[in-house]
Amino acid sequence: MEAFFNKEGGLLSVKVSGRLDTISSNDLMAKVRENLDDTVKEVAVDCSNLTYISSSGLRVLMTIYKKIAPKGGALTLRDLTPQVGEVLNITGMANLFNIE
Amino acid sequence: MTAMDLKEYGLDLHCTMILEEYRELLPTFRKMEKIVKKELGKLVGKAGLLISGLETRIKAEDSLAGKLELKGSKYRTISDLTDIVGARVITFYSEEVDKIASLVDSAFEVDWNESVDKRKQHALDSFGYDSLHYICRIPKSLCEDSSMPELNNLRFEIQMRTALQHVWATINHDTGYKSGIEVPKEYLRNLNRIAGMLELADEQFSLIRSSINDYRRKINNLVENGKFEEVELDGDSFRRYLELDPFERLTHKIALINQAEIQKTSSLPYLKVMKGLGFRTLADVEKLKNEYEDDAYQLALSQLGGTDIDIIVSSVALQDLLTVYILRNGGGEKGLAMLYSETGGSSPYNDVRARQVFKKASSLPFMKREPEEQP
Repeated sequence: MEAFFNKEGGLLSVKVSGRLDTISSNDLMAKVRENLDDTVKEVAVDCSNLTYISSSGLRVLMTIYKKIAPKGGALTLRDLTPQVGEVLNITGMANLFNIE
Repeated sequence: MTAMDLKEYGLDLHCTMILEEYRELLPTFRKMEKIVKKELGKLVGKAGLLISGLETRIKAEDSLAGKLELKGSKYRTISDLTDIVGARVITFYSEEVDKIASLVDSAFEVDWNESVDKRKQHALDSFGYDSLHYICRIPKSLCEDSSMPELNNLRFEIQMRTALQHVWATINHDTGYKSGIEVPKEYLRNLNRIAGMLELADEQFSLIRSSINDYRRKINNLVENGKFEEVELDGDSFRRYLELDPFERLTHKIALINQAEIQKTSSLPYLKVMKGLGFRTLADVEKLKNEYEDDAYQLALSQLGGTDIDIIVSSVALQDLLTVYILRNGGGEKGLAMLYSETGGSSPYNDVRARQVFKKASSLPFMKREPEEQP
C-alpha cells in the first residue's frame, strides 16, 4: 500500500494505492492522524488504484468521516473499483460518503 | 482632581461636581460592567436560552455631560444616575424577556422603585414598543471589593427586549426624538404604526414557536404510545421515532453475521427516500420494518456472509429494508439508483452499485415472491 497526502487550504487529498489490509491500514491511520488537523474541512481520497479494502481500512475511513462530518465537512471517495465499492455498500458506508 | 481640571462643558458647579464623581468612580464602573456582563452571560448560558445579543457599556463622559446639562438639577449625586453602567439583553421571543427578567432578579438586587416595565406603559393612543428596564445593584454575595466600597451601592440598568423591540428602539433613537420635545403628528403616527406591526410580529413568532412545540409534544406522546398511524412522517416525527431505535434488532442480526462492530450513524437521510416512495405515516415505516425484516436480513447475509468484514454502520438496516422494499415492488436497478442518489448524492457510481446489488439480490427467495401492495 502506498499513500500520498497533499494539504491545500482546508482540503486534504489522499491517494491510496494497492491493498488496504490490517497492517497497511495501521500505517495509513498513523499518516491520517498526522495530517488530519483542525484546519481540514474536506478529505478527498483517490481510490482508482485501491484494489482491496479490509475492515481495518473501513475503520480508517470512518475515523476520517467522524472527525470532519460534525463540522459540516465531507469525505469524498473518487474512482472506486467495483470490489471496494461493493464493500462500502454492504456495510452501509456508501451512503455516508460522497462517491464520485 | 478639581473642577478646573475637567473638560469645559459649560455646566454649573453642581453638575461639574457630579461629573467629577463620575471620573473618580470610573474604575468602579468598569469593574461593575465586567461583573454584570460575565454574570448575565453565565445566567443565559446556564438557562440554555438562545439570545440575539448581550451588550454592556459605560456612559461616555460627553453623553453624561449632555444629560446633566438638560436635567442636572434632578440628581443630587452620581449615585442618583442609574444608567452610568448599562446592559442590554436582546432575545428572539417576547416570553424570553420575562425569563431573563426572572434570572436577573435572582442574581442581582433589583431596585423595584426605579425599575419599569415600559412594555406595559403605553396607553391605547400612545406610541412605542419598549423594553423592560431593571435598575439593579451587585449583591455582596456576587462580588465584594474593599478597595471599591461603592461597587455594591451604585446602581446600573439592565434593559431586556426582543430583537424587534431593539430595532424599533434603535431606529427611534436614531431619528433624534427625545420625550418632551414636540414632534410632528405624522412622525408619531408612523412610529406608532411600526410599533404595532412589530408587536404583532413578535406575538406571531411566539405563537409559531409554541405551536411547533405543541406539535412536537403531541408527536412525542403518540410515538411513545405506539400510535404510529396517527403520526405523519416528517423530520420531527422520524427523528423521534429513531430515538426508539426501531431498527436495532435488525442491525444486531446483521452484525452477528460476522460478529461485526456497529458504528452508530443516523438513518435520517432515508426519510427523503421513504417520502418519495409514498410513505405517509410512521405506521408505514413500522410496516416496512415488520414485513421486510427477514428479507433484509437475507439480503445482508448474502452480501456479508463469506466475507471477513467485521464493521457495519447502524443505518445499514434501513438501507437493506428499503433495498428489499424497492426490489419487491418492482423498482429494479433504477429504483435502487434513486435510493443511492437520494441518500449519497448523484454519482455515476450509483448505477454501478445498483447493478451489483440487483444482480446479487435476484437469486434471493424474496425476489421470487409476488409483488406486494405499497403502503
